[in-house]
Amino acid sequence: MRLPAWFDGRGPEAEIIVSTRIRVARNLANYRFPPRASPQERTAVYEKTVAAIGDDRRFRSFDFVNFSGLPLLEQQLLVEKRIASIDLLRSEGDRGVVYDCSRRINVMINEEDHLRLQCLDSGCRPVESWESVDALDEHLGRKLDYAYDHRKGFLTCCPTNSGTGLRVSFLMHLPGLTLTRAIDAVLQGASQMGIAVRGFFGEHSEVIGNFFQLSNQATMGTHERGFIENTRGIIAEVACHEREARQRLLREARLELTDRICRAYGILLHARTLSIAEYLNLSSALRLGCDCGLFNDCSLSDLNRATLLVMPAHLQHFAKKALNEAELGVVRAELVRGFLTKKRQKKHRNRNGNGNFEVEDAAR
Amino acid sequence: MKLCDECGLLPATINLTQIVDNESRSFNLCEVCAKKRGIHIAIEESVFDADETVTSVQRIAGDRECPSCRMKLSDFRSKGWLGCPACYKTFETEIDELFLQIHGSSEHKGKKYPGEQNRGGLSRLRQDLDTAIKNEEFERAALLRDAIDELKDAPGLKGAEGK
Repeated sequence: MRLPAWFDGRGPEAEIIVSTRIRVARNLANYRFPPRASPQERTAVYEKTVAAIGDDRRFRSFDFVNFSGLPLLEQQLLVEKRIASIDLLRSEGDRGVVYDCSRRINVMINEEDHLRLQCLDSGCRPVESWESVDALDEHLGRKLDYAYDHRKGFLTCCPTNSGTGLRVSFLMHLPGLTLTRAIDAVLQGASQMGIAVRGFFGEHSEVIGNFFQLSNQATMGTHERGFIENTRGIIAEVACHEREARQRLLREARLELTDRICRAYGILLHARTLSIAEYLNLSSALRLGCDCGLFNDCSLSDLNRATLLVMPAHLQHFAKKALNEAELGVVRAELVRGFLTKKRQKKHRNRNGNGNFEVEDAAR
Repeated sequence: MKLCDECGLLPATINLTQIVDNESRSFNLCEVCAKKRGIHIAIEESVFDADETVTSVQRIAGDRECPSCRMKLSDFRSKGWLGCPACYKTFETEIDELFLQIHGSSEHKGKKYPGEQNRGGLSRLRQDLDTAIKNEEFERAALLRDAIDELKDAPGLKGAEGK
């Protein structure tokens, strides 16, 4: 299965900043916004956008997926890959997503706004992501009539997005700050500087696995690069605090940290049932271990891959049947067991059959 | 619903009462015309001018509705989202106040988007309007009509019509 580019875990600072997401919201003039549009209007917006993207050879390799009539599982697979949003899945009528072959750039059509142009990259790469979104926006802006006001900027369904329509969002993994109990103070500081904090699954989701999505709150009052620079600056500070926290843990609580990682690894290697939250919380310890040099049986990229594959739609896709919550837990645990065992065996084979447990012995 | 005494098109939301020489005159104005007269709508107050003219500005109670998509102000307040691009004009005062709360600014300083006249202009909008009427898409036709009216008033196109 082809994974989105941002999963490779090779971007700058990917050990803390898992991914960068940049999106702009655009609407077509003379059509009501999607939540209030008639089915005919939705169809017209969908067709116009698809035509505008499809008639340029630069975008010839893009895939077009109309959610209307698409099996629910297929929709969920795209949501889990973060190519589409849960709100798009819940909408009605002609709506969908257009994405490039590397699953890096996509356009959601008829979600909350007519268009959501988005780019997802591994690690901290806001400038590259913005340049890709901006180029696509320039192209579509010439082909379509955007709803725009010279004073209010790009008009969006919700006034929280008006102006630039820009959201710069970073998925961060912050276990160091959680373990040192500094997370609340750091996030509160970020929030006072205009940063919104959300959970792993985006808006209204709870925090699991020490994953946090941090993004700019305001979209009006400065230019796009100003928002990008400002958000990146604050995120860099949060990342710096996280790095210091990890160093402190290594210095002052090496044994406890290693114990936590080994226990998490043990459960993941042997559990017979696992919920999503449990998997994310336990694998958070392994991610931390990878970065601190306390765990090297698999890489960040492997963990990213596993994180996607244990999501409900992916598990059902591979099982080729619908599964209930309890069955999902069993299949998930089986997959994680198999995955980690394989990685472990492979690594040990490479080390000439040394079968010892590879997590660092804290007593050393 | 009362319409604006000045333009007769948009719903009146502001009541302006002036007392000059003990004679009271009252106007009902829409947000746009009130703004043209330099009235700061966010404040409801009575002002005594130097020439002893008393001016009282009050918001007319009641709901308002976007003429293009029929979204009500009360709906916007409860849902938090707007119905169509024209809502931004209808609920301009409320949205500007909200912008200041959310963004700390109500001014777009980002990318500029070329005006309609640079992207095909009135003739294409008129074609779209004809198609919308033919297909009995009246709400869309209303949006297109507003866009055409706005364009006709745009500085660059004034006087160019009919040539």
